Amino acid sequence: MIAFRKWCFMICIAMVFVILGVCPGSTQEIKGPIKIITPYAPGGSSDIVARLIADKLKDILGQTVIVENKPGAGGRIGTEYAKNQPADGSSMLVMNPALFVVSPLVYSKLAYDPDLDFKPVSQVQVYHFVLSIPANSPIKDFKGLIEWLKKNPKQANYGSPASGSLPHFFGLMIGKYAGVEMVHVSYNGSGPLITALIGGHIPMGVDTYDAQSRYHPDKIRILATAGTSRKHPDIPTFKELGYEIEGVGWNGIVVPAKTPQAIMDKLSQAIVKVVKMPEVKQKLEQIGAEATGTTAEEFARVIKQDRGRWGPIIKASGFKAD
Amino acid sequence: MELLSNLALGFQTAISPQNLLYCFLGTLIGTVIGVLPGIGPVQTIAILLPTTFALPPVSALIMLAGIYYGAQYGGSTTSILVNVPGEASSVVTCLDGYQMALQGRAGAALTVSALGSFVAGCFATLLIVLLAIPLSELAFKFGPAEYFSLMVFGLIGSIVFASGSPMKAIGMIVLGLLFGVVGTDITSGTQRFSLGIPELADGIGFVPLAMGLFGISQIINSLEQKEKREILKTKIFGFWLKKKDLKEVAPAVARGTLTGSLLGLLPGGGGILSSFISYMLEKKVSHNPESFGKGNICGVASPESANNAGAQTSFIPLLTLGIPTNVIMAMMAGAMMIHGIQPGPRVISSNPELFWGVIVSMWVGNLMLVILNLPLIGIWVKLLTVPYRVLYPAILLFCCIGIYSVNNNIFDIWLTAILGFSGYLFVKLECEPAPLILGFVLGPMMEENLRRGMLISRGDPSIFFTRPLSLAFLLMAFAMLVVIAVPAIHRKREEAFHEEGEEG
Repeated sequence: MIAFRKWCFMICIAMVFVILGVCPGSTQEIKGPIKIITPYAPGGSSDIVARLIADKLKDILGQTVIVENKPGAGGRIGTEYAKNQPADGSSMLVMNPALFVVSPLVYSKLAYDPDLDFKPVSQVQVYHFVLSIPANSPIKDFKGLIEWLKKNPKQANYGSPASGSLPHFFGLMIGKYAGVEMVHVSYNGSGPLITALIGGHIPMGVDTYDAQSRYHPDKIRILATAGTSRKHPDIPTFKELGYEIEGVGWNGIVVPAKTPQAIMDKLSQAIVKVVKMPEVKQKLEQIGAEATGTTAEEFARVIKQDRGRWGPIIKASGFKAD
Repeated sequence: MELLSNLALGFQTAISPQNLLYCFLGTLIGTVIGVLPGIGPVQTIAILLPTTFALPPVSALIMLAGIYYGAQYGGSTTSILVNVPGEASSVVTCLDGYQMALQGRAGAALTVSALGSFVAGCFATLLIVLLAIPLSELAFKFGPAEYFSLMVFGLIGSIVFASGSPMKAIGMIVLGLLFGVVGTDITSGTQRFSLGIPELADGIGFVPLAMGLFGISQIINSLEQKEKREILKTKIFGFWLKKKDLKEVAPAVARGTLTGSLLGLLPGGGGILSSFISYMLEKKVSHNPESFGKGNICGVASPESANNAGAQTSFIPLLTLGIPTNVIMAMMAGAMMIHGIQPGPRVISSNPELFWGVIVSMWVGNLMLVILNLPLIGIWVKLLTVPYRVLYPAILLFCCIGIYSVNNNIFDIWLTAILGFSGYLFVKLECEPAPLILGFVLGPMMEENLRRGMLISRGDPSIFFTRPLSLAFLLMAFAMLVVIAVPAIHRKREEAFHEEGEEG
């Protein structure tokens, strides 16, 4: 009899272990509320990404998910803040190449280390850069532009929405491949750049596809887009034109580096699931982006690859922020 | 009939229940702070700037605009009944308004100022509607050279029109320019004077600066002074205007409206300047100029129309060129930028519902103001009895919550405290903070465009003199410098401003 009881007891214990073993989530439960930190002000693309994900993630994880805006210093304040949050899955950060690829190269003292302080979870969306000119320009295509630039080297000025932004460096990359020395003129955001382009005050602009195509499509001519595939059926990519250059920006999610692997996996799977939802995909397309929803490994590869792509251009430009 | 469809869009936006509510709130707050002496639209907008953060941008701007022109209405009430300007732009209304009240014609004075303001408000709204599109088309002709020269013109304008000593005004502008230098340099991306504090990498925040210099310093200063307010004890009656009055007032309202509308477009212009100039003009054209200051109804009608018209047309340069011409417009620009909208010619096409909605709301708001100001006058008179020691600490608390909410950062509250204390020092030194704010806003834009122009011309400064528009602005700026320098005009200017307490 005693043996039977003992046997029963042991089975019970065993079952508990089996259950725990089968469901890793039950030991690695994420303690809510979960916050997605956006290092920028509400309204920008990072913020839209954060809010879209937060809205769907709460149903998948069964936890409250809130978006916390920590703007300032081009996103560096929010990133530093995110680094010091508890590494238990309750804090995530929406980031981009400016914070993880450019900043480490141009700041001698950066308050965070993208590799030591964070772990990538998933890349959410990709947006393509474009080269555009005023629509009333006699130049019709990229080839024509290069011919014109070679004849008028003193007018090889291009505008970008910010100094030290990827479009800034992408303009230099275009110049390098086209064999033209380009002078960068920075504007205070996409709006003023577009105004200057329409008014013909600057001959070329490098910016995101969305910014250049959304308003005044009749007054701005996009000559080429810089992704791997066409963004618009009538506009070629640089690769199709024979220039092996690619210029895309993205937004992704990272967590503090000490976050346990099991929680990371859970978050990564949940986010990929959210990004693949048709509704989310459609909303991201509305802001001119492409939903990607990569795995953590793929995202880590993208970050590394981007450093290889932009590093030499940034270093050659001599750009230093401090 | 693009204009009609634009207006239809504007109406659709402005009369949505939510926007009607914010328009009402704005005009109500505007009336309240207009009535209360010592606190004006500059302080109020500075204080409320961060709270509008949570609103949709259209509602935010509708409300802030309502505060501005609402204050133009409310200010006259205090001028007429208490002989203390509720609002800087109602200073001249005291001269004849209070005299009218003493003669038992307070009702007529209040009516004429409200109706004059309403007529002016309607006309100015129409003017914005008509001028906005052509002007914003013209704005595309503005390259870096034109912007640079226009801003030189604007800065010099703000010296000419600032009250008090021009030397102090210049000093404050330079200080504003220096404050504007702090942060990341737009052209090179380098940090300047940020002292290694990451929060300063974006520069000194506009909200802490405006709130510190105007809101906090004003509160400290008001609490320090003894309250002295005498309210007219007699009953107010006789709101209806006589036929004779109407005949006399109509042309004065028309003149005030035109003067105000024009001056509102100029840098440094707006409500205050408009009311002063129109009063002087009215005295000039009057058949019996000696009756001014003794209760002449035209002396109320014209400046009250002018300050409202000027308050509204000063939106035109901001909405079309993206250039704030006075402090309030600088704050409106700040409010737009908080919401990620870059003021400028693109606003009309990228945010048409915002653009037309705000304009139509001005007309709606003016209508509300007539209702708020005439039948409810009794409430506003009561309001004048609220002690400041109750009012100001409450305002201060809201300030702190508001500032924190912009960036969710404690640093901004410290910054506001420091700037508030410096603002108090400026008051003691009799230095106007308004030119500082204009220097702060226009300075970085000016530098940016100067360097952009030089980059595009590959270092050739002649770009600023060879482009006709740019040259015209520089010449006008030079002409204004001459105005400051020539002693005769200098004296006139001093006369005009000597009674004015503060710039708004």
